Amino acid sequence: MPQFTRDRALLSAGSALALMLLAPQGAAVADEVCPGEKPSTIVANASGGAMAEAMRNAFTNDFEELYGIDVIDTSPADVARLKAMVEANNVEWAVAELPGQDVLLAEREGLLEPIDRDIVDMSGFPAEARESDYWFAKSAYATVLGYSTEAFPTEHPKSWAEFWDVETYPGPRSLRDDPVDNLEYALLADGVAPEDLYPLDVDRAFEKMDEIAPHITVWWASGQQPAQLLLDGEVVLASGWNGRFYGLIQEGAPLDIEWNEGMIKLSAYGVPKGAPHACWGQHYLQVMTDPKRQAVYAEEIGYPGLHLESPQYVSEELAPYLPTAPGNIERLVWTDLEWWTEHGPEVRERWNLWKLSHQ
Amino acid sequence: MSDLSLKGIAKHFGDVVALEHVDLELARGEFTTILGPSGSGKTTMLRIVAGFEHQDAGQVLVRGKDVTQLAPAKRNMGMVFQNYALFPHMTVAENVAFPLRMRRTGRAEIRERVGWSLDTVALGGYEERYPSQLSGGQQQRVALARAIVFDPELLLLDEPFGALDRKLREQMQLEVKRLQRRLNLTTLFVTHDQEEALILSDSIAVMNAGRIEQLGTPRAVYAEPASRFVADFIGESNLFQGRVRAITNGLLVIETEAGHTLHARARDGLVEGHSVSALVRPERPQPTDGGLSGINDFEGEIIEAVYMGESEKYRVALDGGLEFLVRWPGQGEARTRSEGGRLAFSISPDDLHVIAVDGSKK
Amino acid sequence: MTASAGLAASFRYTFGRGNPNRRQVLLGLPTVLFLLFLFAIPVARFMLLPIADGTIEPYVKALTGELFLLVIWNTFKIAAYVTLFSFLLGYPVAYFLTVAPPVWRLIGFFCVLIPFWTSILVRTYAWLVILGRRGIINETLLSAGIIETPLAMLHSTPAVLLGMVHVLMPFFIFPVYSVMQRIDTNLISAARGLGAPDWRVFLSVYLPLTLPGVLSGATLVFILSMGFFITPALLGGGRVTMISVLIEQYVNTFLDWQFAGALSAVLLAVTLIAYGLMKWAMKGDKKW
Repeated sequence: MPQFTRDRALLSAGSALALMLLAPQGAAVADEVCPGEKPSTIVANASGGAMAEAMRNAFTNDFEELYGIDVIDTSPADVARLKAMVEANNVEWAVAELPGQDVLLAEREGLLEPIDRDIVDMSGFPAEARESDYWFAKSAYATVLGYSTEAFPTEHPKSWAEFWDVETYPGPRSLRDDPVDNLEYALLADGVAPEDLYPLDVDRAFEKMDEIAPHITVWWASGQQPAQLLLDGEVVLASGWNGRFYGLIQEGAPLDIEWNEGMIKLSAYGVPKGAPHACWGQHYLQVMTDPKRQAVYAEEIGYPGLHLESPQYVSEELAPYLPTAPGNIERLVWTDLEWWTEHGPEVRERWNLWKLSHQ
Repeated sequence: MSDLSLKGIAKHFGDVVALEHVDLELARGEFTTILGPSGSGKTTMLRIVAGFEHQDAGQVLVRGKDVTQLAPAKRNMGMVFQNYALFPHMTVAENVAFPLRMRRTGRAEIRERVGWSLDTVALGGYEERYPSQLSGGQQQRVALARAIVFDPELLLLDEPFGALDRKLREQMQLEVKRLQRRLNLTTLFVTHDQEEALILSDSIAVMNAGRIEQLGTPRAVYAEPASRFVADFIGESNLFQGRVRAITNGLLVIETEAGHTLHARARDGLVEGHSVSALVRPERPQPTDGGLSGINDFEGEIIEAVYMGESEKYRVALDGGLEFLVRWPGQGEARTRSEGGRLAFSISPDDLHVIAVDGSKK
Repeated sequence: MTASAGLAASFRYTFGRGNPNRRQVLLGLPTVLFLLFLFAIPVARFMLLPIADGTIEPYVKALTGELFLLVIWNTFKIAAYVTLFSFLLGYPVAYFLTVAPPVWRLIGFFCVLIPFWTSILVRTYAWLVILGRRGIINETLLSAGIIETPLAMLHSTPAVLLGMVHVLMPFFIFPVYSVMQRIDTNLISAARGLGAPDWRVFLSVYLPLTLPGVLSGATLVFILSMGFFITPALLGGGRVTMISVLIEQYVNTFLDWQFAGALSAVLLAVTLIAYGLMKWAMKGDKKW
């Protein structure tokens, strides 16, 4: 850990230096940055928990220093609340996190302001991250196969087909209480090639799910559950978000990640429609485009930023645990959020019905 | 053989003695009242007979059979509670049928017995009512019907008239008495109301501090109380404290503390020098209107006169400083004595009841 | 003690048959306005969302869709079980509180109220610790050699029932206690004296007399169970679907508020029907 701490200290020093170089310029233009009176605070809504702290250390503190505006962190990420605010024309948030396909829902429902490309410079980002006018791709995360190293010290399942193999790898398992990812896993386990996944063969997927259902003792609902279930010995295998696993692995917990056939998605931020300080929200996003700051964020929580230069600034210990790391990214499969936004409601209803039949 | 015998019953609640070696016998069809102030142990005694409390010592025998170890349900006693204890969720008929159902009596017989029982208490036609739809007197009758419907060996009444107004109470008292006579029910009745006890009972057991002070007919406990407590508790009384000075011609000569000399009929066991209380009931003195009878003559000033309809009551300050209560039949206007007037009366030696004071010779 | 007595009194008030006069109605006005503007109107708006958009389709779906009927039935079953177990376990507790000597009554009230004052979340997590594969029970049985592999107790309907009964039992105990407390002990003596063995005294006299309290408590527990969320969500491990879990999913995950509103209306309707049935059952005691 000392090694890691020092690296982080170096990084912080680096960003402080960068700040000092930027500062005079920033101060000079500060008054014309955004029209109207400068607010003393803005609200940034995100997932909270460990992520809030990481956000603060990597981006939020810098934003406050740069512009002299305090940022109030609120949580959790809640697209339902965003909808309520926008519909009531009473938006509190200047900027908001929109995980998974929430961002597509928000875009489809017209809950977002377009990203102002004059303020938010995404030139260093890959093309996949620049497709939409309405969202800012903060990072990528993968839903991967986590396993208990106590239960499987030597040989562990390396694919979803092996996750389905309860003879070779016995023990209770956990999957998310949501058809997203699970149907993909089922099809992969049934021999569908990753490139042929979409459009999903829903019938085939549910048929395959029938096989594993009796062995799923917990359908998890919140992000911290899978790692905790593995740690508590409630289950020996679980799907889960890579950053949540990484957090516990870092602390020496007896669990590890199998990256093969994990499902990767973008995690986005957006500016709510009619936000009171939308312009400052855009500037908050601009702070998040910095590859070095993204590296700080990755060190904190295990989710990489998408700036192409960011991986250069990440420590050697962390690198293998980032979904974007070479060696991981090739083995991951991109989730088709469009397909899910299209078919989500009916598939989810079927999912619930299917689950009831397996109670 | 007695229907009920209590032999040496004792009961403590912690340090408090509730009953101290109580003996009592009830013959078939006898109506016995346990009379006493609250805290005298009378309710405890009834609860022990019913089986709700367990005595520390002694035996309860019903028709010669020891029921001490029997649960209340097995004792076959009909009980009427102070507040009637009717089951509020059952109709009148269901209430009355309850003890029969518990005895697994046949359906037809239940109907017949309930009908008989309700007719007996003059409540035929009220079968389907709920207790809350009945008056206090009617509830009382239902409780009575329920207590007699299963032909109990013993009827237990725990202050059943307390909640009724005076008129209804007197009416119910007589009804209960008639019913008890007619059915020849051996009855144990608990009350603190001495008037009620005198009216209803064949015999009265006066209780005080866990003991029976006197057991006797109403006439005996009223006219010849065995102790000052009984004299005080039952009826109104005038009590003279004094000492036997002499016995002459079959009369006790008693010198009272207030300085009067009384003559009373001699009683066994009283000798010269004994401390005694001499009791005179207020209705006993005879007016003398000037003429003197020769013995037990008193005169004094009326300090309070109360007209009570059938009687008149006078509080008299006797010459010599003692207060005396006199009650005579109500008189017409012309004969009325008023406050401040003089009153003279004499007491026949036969109307003076002498009680030896415990631990005589002061 | 005073707190518990107050609680019991408030239950009594809630379920008593008061006939408030006009001034008392005025006293209730602030509460009524508060509930109207901050509860009734928003809830009504939420439930009328589908109709406001000129469609009854969400309602049709909520009332005819296989999934929703199954979930409502499942919720109903769980609520019924929770009510039954609250009765079986809570009734003796209420009786104990009624007859126990003062010191024991105080201790008893404390034991009932302590969990009542503790957050549902904390209590539910406590069950996770107790019932888990490496929880207290399994560790004890394993180390005693009674079992070789851990028992799967968590994340099942029984675990949810256990957690819910634990949380909801006080809501049963207090109304029953308040009724038991007022039962004239002479009635029990009378029944015994008239020849009833103890079990008959209980079945024919005591139980019927406590029935109003039992029905109040059961109604309360049943209604609260119908809408329960945290405990089934945590202890059910996603394997026990209750209607509130489904509503949450439609609000937060699917953003389908019209349908969530329709489901909420169905939940409210089922709850009201259950309440009406219990009220009707309680009518029997109007006569006494």
